[in-house]
Amino acid sequence: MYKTLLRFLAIVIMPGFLTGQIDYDKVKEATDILFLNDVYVHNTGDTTFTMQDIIIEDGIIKKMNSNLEAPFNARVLKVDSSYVYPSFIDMMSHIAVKKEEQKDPPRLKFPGFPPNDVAGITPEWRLTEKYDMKDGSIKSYRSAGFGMAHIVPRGRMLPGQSSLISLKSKDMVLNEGVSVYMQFSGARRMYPATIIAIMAKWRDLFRNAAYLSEHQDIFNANPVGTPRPKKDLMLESLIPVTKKKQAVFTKTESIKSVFRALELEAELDYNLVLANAELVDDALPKIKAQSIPVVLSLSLPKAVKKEEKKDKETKTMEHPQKEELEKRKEESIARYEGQANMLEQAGQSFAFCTMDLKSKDLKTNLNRMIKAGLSKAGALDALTINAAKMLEIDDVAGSVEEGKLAYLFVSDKPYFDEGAHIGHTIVDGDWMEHPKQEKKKKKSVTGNGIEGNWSFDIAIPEDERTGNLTIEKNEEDYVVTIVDNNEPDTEFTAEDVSVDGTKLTFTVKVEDDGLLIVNFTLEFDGDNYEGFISIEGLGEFPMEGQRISSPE
Amino acid sequence: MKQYIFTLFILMLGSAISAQESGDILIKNGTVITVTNGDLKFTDVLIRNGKIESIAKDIEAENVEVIDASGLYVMPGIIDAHSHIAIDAVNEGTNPVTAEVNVGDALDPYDINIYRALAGGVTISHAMHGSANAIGGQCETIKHRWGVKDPVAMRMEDAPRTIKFALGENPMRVHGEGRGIVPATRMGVEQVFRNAFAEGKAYMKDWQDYKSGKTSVPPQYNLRKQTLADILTGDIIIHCHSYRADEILMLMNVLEDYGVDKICFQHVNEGFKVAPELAEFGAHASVFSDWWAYKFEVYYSTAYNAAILTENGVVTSINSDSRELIRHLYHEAAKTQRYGDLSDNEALSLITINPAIQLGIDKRVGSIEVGKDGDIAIFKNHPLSIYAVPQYTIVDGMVRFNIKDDAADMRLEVNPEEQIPAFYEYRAHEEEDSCMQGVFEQLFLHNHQH
Repeated sequence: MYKTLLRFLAIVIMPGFLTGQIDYDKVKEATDILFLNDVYVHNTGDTTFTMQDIIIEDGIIKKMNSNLEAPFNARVLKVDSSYVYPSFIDMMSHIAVKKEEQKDPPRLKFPGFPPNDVAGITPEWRLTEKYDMKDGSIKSYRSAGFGMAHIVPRGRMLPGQSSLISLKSKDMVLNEGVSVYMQFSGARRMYPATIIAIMAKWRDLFRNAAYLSEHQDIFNANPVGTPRPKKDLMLESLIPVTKKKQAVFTKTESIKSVFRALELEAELDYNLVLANAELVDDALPKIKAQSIPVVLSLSLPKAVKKEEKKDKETKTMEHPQKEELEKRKEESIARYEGQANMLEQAGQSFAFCTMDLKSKDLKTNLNRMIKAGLSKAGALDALTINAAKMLEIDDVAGSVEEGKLAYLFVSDKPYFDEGAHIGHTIVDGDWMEHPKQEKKKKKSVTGNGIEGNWSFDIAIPEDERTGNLTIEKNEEDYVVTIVDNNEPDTEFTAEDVSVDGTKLTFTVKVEDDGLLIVNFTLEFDGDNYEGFISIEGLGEFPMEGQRISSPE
Repeated sequence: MKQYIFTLFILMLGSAISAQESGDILIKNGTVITVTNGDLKFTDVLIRNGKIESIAKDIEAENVEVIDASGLYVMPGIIDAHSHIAIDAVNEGTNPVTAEVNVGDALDPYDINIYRALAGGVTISHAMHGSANAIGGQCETIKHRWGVKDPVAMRMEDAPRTIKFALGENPMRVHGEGRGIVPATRMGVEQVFRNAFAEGKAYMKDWQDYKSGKTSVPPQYNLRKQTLADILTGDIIIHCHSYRADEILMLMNVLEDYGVDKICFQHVNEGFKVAPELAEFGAHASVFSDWWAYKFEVYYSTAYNAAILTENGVVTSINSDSRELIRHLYHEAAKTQRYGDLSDNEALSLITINPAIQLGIDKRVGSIEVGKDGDIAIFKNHPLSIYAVPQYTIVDGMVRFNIKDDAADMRLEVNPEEQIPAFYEYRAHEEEDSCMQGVFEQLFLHNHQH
């Protein structure tokens, strides 16, 4: 529920997403044949490499061995002695799925009997017509190493069926109707509004689909004198699920939703996939007993920053219960970080998905999981071959092998090495170069007090907010203004500004289809600050920033 | 090495799920309040594998945890026949009939109120759907196995199915006033029941016809009607939110027409007016000790209600319907001695064996008897004394609350990104009648159209 609200907030109240774009006007390449010379190819299952030459033609790894000649008409990539990995496969996300405008639900006379599409129950819908090839995340995930994504529609309980896509600008769709996507998110102001109704609705739909199929069989065997089965596209779309021919990817971030999904599967018997799971540890015995595939979320709770050593005096001022809470939070974060390792140790194969991940956090989060015990080989397998197996495409994808589809990326160093850069990606034979961008050196500014111009970064899932925060002192009072980079023309002036030592609190009111009250609580320390914003009814989101300039 | 430890951890985790649920305990030398067999002084209670194995003086047993209960009172774990703790959803308030939903699907083993209830000696509660709908959802009888993470493991295995019904203002307000549909009046509430039962009956017949070969294709499956049919066949006990005597009689008439006899009236503030009728029907009553006047239909009330019902032979319990009252139900029971002069045993029955009967679990819990579940509350001072303080609460032979081991933060998990806000967020709805949780969001979310 909480996450749904976040997403709602991200889509409805704060529109405008960062977009990077693929160059669509690119001139057709003179040749489709690519040659990679003397590269180290990652061996699936461990972290070793084999030196190979690779010829890619027609989107296929045509030839791969240690001494090939470059074909006369091939483009030779200058990647000598680089490291080649199979492209990562994102097991669940909304990459390239059009964002739909969220409207207030219609007010129904009988909210207990809403039309299925209004209630978010459209398992028959496919993503056709809903692709957004200009979605900036195609490129950002591609440059992070992803080549394929299993994408699911946006919506509520049963938004529709998933597609498998290549992360490229043309001929993106590999397959539609791959799986049915399900979420425990209720309809607004109508049935099914709560988790209990969603669970009941699923049982009802599932059994109805099974009985419809039974009815169809009876009718088909002997149509004369048999009442005809109802034509119901929605229910018919669930028949493959009841026959275990199509999997149900169920979004289960919380451990409670994991248990709920497992219970439904145990009761009804279908191909469940626990997807975007953040915690699975307590449910592991059941997951193993029921043989349920797990797709872990790549997003992790924000790590606790190593605080600078505070002198003893300030430390004793902290309330002991607050310290205890900090300790518990750290343990909790460690629990999230340890999930992948736990699955690996238990011999439970799993894959990863990027649904709630910011692409720039990919490697950081993988490294956090590795630090918590996950093997590097295990991490790579989860991103490649395990995912391919789960999608039943491991015969053509998931590793760099002769005959397989050409999905790979080239890194200048082994992937997990410090500073490794992915310079080339080949997705479905489509080559793209990703030049290394020199990081702009941040000007280090120092100053005193809280006055001045500051950057900010608010971590809202799927929609990080950045911008500037200006604090001026006007006689006795502080004046705080905020500009969001997404709306550079709008300046918000804070109300109820209060400064207590290094702590600043204020409120910003945003008019957006109703009044949104955002409370800020920030703690300044030298040239940095940390804190959070709190929005009534929606929750809290971390915020941080650095000093950009001091008042003259 | 690290990997080895982790594997070990996993193995332990696997076995923990089954092993964690019951234990062995010897409670020595307490005053054992059996409820069904008087009080036994200086007596020991031995629990093995979660069941009471013997009740006697000077029991010798090996390999058990021993609790010295000298000077303490040992009573059966308290049972709350009406609560809304440990569930993530209370009301599916979108339709006047939602028999198919089940709060047992929304169990929340992390709810701190489970622990707080244990700290009040409560070992079992009846997690109920709310009262927004005339026929609300199914409820779940849960054991307070605090620390168990699997929601399924919270359920009391083999406890009969129960369902929430509601009379009067709540369903009228949500559906009639809120949406302009039936039921807008008390008459409408009756019709909702009659229609629902009629549908359930017809549904049952359709399926019987298909299964007996009378019809050639399956009728349309409907989980809601199936559940209504299960009520008609006696598989589900009705627990009905009620206040006024006239409506209580009305529901008994409806049930009589459909041959349903398993009913426990909840709140039933005017039960004292129809106590002989309730007794004759065999209906049960679960009441507050002295809570009323929070809305119009609850003005005509008395603190003698529990005593009058008891004296008239109605199986009566005292419930909490509140995460706060659940922490001192023993006080609530004691009030019947001030208002109605009930005996100690009668007063304690209101929170032990009687709610067990109402939930259909009296064969297993509600008293201290050999063979029953090892659900025990141990008090310093008599539980009906105002000085009573729970010391240990035991569920299936496992100590789930020990006053000596009661740290400041007993939550099972914390939010890794939890912040301590700089301001206090007042949550008005938390102060409201918990039977109506969640309804107003479903009615008026975003658009305030009344």
